[in-house]
Amino acid sequence: MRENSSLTLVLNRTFRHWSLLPAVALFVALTIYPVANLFRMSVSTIEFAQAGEAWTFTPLRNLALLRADEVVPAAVRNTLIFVVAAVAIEMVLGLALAIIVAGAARGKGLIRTVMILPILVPPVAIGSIWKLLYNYDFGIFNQTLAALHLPPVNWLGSTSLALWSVVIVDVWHWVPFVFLILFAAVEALPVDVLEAARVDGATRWQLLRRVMLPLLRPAIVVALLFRTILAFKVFDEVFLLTSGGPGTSTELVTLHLYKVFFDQNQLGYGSLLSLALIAAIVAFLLVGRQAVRLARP
Amino acid sequence: MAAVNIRNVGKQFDSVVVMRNIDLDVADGEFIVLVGASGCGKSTLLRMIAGLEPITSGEIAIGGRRVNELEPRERDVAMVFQTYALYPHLDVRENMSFSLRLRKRAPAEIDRLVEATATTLDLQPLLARLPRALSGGQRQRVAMGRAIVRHPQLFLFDEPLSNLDAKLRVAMRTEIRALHQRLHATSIYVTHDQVEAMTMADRMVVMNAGRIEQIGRPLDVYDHPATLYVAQFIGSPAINVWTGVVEASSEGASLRTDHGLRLALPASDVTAGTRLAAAFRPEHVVLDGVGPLEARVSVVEPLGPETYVYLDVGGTRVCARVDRTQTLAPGDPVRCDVAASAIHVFDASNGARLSTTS
Amino acid sequence: MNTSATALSLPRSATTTPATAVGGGWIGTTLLALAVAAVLGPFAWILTASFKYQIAIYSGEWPFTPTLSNYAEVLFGRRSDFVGNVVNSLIVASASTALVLVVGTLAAYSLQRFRWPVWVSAGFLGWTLVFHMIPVMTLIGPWYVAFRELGLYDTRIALILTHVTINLPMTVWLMRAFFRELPPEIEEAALVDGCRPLEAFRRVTLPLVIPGLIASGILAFIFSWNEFPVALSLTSRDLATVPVAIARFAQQYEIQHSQMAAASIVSTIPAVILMALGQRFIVRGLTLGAVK
Repeated sequence: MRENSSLTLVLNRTFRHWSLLPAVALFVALTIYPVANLFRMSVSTIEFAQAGEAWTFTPLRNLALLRADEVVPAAVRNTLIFVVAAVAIEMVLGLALAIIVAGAARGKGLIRTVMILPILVPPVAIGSIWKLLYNYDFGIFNQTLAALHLPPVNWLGSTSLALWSVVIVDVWHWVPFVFLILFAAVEALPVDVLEAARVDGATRWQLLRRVMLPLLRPAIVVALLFRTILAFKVFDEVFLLTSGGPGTSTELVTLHLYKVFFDQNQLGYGSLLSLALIAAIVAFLLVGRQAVRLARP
Repeated sequence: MAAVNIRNVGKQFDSVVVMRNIDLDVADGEFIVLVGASGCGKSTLLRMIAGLEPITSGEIAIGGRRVNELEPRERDVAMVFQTYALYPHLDVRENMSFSLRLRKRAPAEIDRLVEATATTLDLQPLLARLPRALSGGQRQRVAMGRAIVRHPQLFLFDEPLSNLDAKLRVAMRTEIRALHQRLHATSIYVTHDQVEAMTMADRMVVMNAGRIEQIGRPLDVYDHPATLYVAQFIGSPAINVWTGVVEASSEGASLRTDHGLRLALPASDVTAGTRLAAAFRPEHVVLDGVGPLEARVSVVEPLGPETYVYLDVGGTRVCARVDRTQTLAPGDPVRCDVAASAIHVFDASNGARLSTTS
Repeated sequence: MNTSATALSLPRSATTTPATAVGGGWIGTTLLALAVAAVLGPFAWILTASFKYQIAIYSGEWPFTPTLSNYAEVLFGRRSDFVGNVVNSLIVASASTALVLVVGTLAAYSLQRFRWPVWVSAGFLGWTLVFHMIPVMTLIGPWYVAFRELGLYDTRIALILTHVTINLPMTVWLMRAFFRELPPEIEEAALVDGCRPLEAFRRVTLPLVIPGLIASGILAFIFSWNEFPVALSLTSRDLATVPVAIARFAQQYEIQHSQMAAASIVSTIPAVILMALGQRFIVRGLTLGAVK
């Protein structure tokens, strides 16, 4: 480092102050300002013209659009079904897998490596992979059914089945995440406590029910919270798999938001939807924080 | 080398005053030990001297130069941390030469200094190792080496031995003293261990609750504790303390203790009716069979060269040091006495010393 | 695989793991194998599909004649921009990762090391958490408007900045956890030894959090490479990234299934490489945020 250069001197003197500055600046410019702007946009109609954008103050129009938008109730309903079903299945499978696999004689390193893969692979690629797996004509599932002389199933094209097909993909995608968190927690369980319980005469089931699960509760709550919030954010895979179809049977709030913004070019109305979604997430966060607090011993 | 002058130093965290009116002069080449229970402020004072902790009032000078506003690196002090704080990513040689390289000393000179220090501390075989490959004792020596190699004006030690096992701690204690006698470097050493303080210090500073209780040579502090706190903190086993009220009689003042015992007090100007605390060390309890105090042996602790006996004297526990030849068993009745001249008398309300005993 | 039943019955206290107490050896191992197969199966199927001619996919014939033509067509075909998409993705992911590491590490260090007023640190960290939880789609509208106004719409700069913002919360939280594990004395020793604050940070503190930098860097790169909604909304055809390109494959009127498979396989390559290189860092990073 150059000695005594005045720049170095100033940087050193003020290190504690400027070290946080870039992050704060970025956040103000790219998150706080946009959220503030959402409020302005949500009461406006914005149109792009040759000369630039034209803003008009039309709060009632956006509200009217919301009232008239028939996709919104479907999207909310689908999102709730999707989140509850996917997260519930993921938690149960992930927890069972973590507890049982922790007893495996070998292969724990392997499964840790393999389980990272779905988390790191582009969600879009997962969507595209499963789109092929689900293909009516030649996908692996219908090929298997054909081999068993069973009729093919229209996995993504049937209004009654499509949402569940999407749930299956999400389960495949995210069970590994739940597994990794809970597996780490299981491996970190205090061995002496478990041994004490065994000495005290606990059966396997009692050990699981009365000792391990209570000890794992904080990790379970954290995994549950993470998964629920991430499940609300889901977009990429569903965009690839069904884009919300057939009809509105797999329409989710994020997908609908995208369509309002970029297919219908309704920036103002989209902002209104965005604000509502943010409010819902923040409300959920506050409730979830309370749940975590209660779960801590 | 340099003297250190601490003038009226105080410290506040937010609105809480944690230290006030600290005055301390450390002579050039002196080995000063700051001792006290945890939380007494001794480490904070050391860190203030190092510049790691800001001072809210007063002045600290090192070598006659005011250092309040100086960064740690500008103070020319070296510090040995309790956790050693070795740079985990640098090997022993790089750890020791780090400060020299920062100061852009010539490579040849750096090598010479590191080699010399390594020789002094028997670190040569370890120079290429990383800290994680060293034992606790070796890490401690590297931390010492990293401080010594710089030849700083002032050495600061923050409980450097407390993470070592008992045997190694005693050996290092001696070694640090020997090093100091050779280098004659001004040193300020923080410990909670009063044995370390007694054995190592030229002068020790006993601290309590952010204040200095007493400054003095170890034996002077031991013999003439300035406060009841110091009397109780220094000495192992701990000093015996009886509280009570002064009574005057024809033979002189005596103490009527809270347990109803009578203890003759040294001649002093305490007035009858005063509440005070009388303290006397185990070695001043005489088990002669004729003393005025009736006692019963409750526990006997033979240490080898001497034996400590815990006595039940009228419902209070008193520790006495006896010769190893004296055979006592729990339950034995004994009579004992305390030499009046060996009793320290303190004001029971504030712990201040009331008398001077020889 | 030797799955002897001894783990079930013999009480070997030295090897009691939480799970040998409940689950049994061979059940665990069997389930483990099943889980591994379930995760890898779809990848294996798509990998084979990527080496098949379209006609072989339709007929489901087995064994098939492997071909590289899908990859050739995807990467070098006259109608394909895929190489351009890969280059775009690499540029955006590399630049945003470098930036987020600098900005995020400085912020994490600052929050951990310096005594900021509570409203600053708690406010900052709380907001990063909230922002991390919000679907990114909700902010795309204002981003779109702002970048158009600034003339940055359909530029890599816009994409890089948004990706830095998206990855900043994770980086800050992760690096903060690593800084928290460092004993402050090490940096204090450096200050006493003669370092200026910045020097102590650069020469002592930073080298000690390299595992954290690797974990954050890998995750930030992967998430930027994978990011879809922003790239879809803020770029046109020329600046499309790999996920956007794959989505276009899937939306064509006549889907080239074998090429879609090949493109998907190519898109997973960075994840696979980085996973192989930095597995232990990633697991630490993914679980650290969740457990702490």
